[in-house]
Amino acid sequence: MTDGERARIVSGWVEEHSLPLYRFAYRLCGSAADAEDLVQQAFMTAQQKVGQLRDHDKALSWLLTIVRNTFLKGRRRPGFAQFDTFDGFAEPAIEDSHGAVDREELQAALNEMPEDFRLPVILFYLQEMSYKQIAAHLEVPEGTVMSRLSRGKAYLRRRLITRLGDEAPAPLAADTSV
Amino acid sequence: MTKSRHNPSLREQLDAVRPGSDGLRHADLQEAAAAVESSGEWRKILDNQQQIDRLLADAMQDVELPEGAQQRLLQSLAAAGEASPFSDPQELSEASCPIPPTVAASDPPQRVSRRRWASIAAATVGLTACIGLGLLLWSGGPATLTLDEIRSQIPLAADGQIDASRLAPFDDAFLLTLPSGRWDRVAIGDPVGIDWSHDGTHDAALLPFTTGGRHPLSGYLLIAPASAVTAPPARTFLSTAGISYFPVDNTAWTSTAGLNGTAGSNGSSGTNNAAGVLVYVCFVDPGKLPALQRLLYPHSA
Repeated sequence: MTDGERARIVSGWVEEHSLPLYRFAYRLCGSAADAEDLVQQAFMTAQQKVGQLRDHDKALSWLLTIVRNTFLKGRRRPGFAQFDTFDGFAEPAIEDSHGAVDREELQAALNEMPEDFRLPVILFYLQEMSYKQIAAHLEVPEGTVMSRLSRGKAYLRRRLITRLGDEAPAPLAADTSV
Repeated sequence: MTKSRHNPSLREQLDAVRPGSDGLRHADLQEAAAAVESSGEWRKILDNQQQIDRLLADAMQDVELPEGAQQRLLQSLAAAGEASPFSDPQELSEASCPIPPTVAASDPPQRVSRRRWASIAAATVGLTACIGLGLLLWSGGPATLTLDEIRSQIPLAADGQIDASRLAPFDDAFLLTLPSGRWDRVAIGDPVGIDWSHDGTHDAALLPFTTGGRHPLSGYLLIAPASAVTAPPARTFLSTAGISYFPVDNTAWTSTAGLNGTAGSNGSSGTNNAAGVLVYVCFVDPGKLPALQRLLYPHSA
């Protein structure tokens, strides 16, 4: 494949996939500037390696993987993450939501979650992946995905849609059992 | 796909069901399906959870692509293409091993860390500068320098930051012209000069600048006639694709003069810029070049 062909293919992907990639990157890192850098880096990696992608119908999935790996590679993972999952706190009802979730509040909540939980949650809501697809994408066991997804989703529900006046329980340590 | 020995709870099974999908038919979710089928309470829990899922999914999607982002992406890709080490297809095919997509994606190109790159660059530049200086002294020859040699001419303070206070005010040896982009958004200080040919006139100017806003950044713009630079960069605009990390983050490009007004608080009006092509090197705080690029090219430039 020539340089020109690679550039043409990836330019087409920029037109087609910039928005979902940027959304994914933004929700991962929580900053517009970092998200744009992340997407730029991902496309540059893709331009170098496009010849290795056999099925171009899977370009978006491939690009998402590059974004995710680039993000994880650029971060220093904390040795021990403190994650208040609000376990034991009452599940909120849809009536408590006032019909909408604030996007900034949502991002703040995502930023508080350890990456092991944040990634499946973002893939579930943003990329509309099933738990099986998430497991395949992240290359982790399905049961692990189900556990992390459930705790992450419960956290968002309780963090964002909790009734005013309810008290949150003391923080719990991150789930390291799976 | 990997199976796990983890036995998901009823709650975990319900959370795995996508809103509006037939996810409950999965074999792994039989317990949840039975509970929802037989109990109005569990049905209510599932309905409530899925309505909240829809709200969260809507909020998650509420992110727009910044204005001009696609253009900036295309520009950086074009610039990266120019600088690609694979100039011919044969070379590319020899350098690239076919591997499955997932492996390719999970192993992006190894990037040299900035600190390591800086130490490699410093050693290389130091060696190059010594050899270059020796040759210059020996031959009394040309006054052009490579970009690496020019970078090594920048005076540094003990903390590794650029220290322009050691340089004399620019002597107007050539006309200072700002490159394209919104440099009007940047406060530019008085230019100082660098005389690397040691002929008593400045070969380059260094302009300090700062930006405003909530997250101000500062840096220096070096300007030199292209005729004073060995192998001027092929890139023609400020791009984060060509970042160097010595002595601080910087990127270089070549541009025709006269695009964007005259730089310098004293309205420099030199006479020795016959070629009309200038080389620019922009130095900024670590990690700030992308932010500067967005400030200068808000609408894709």
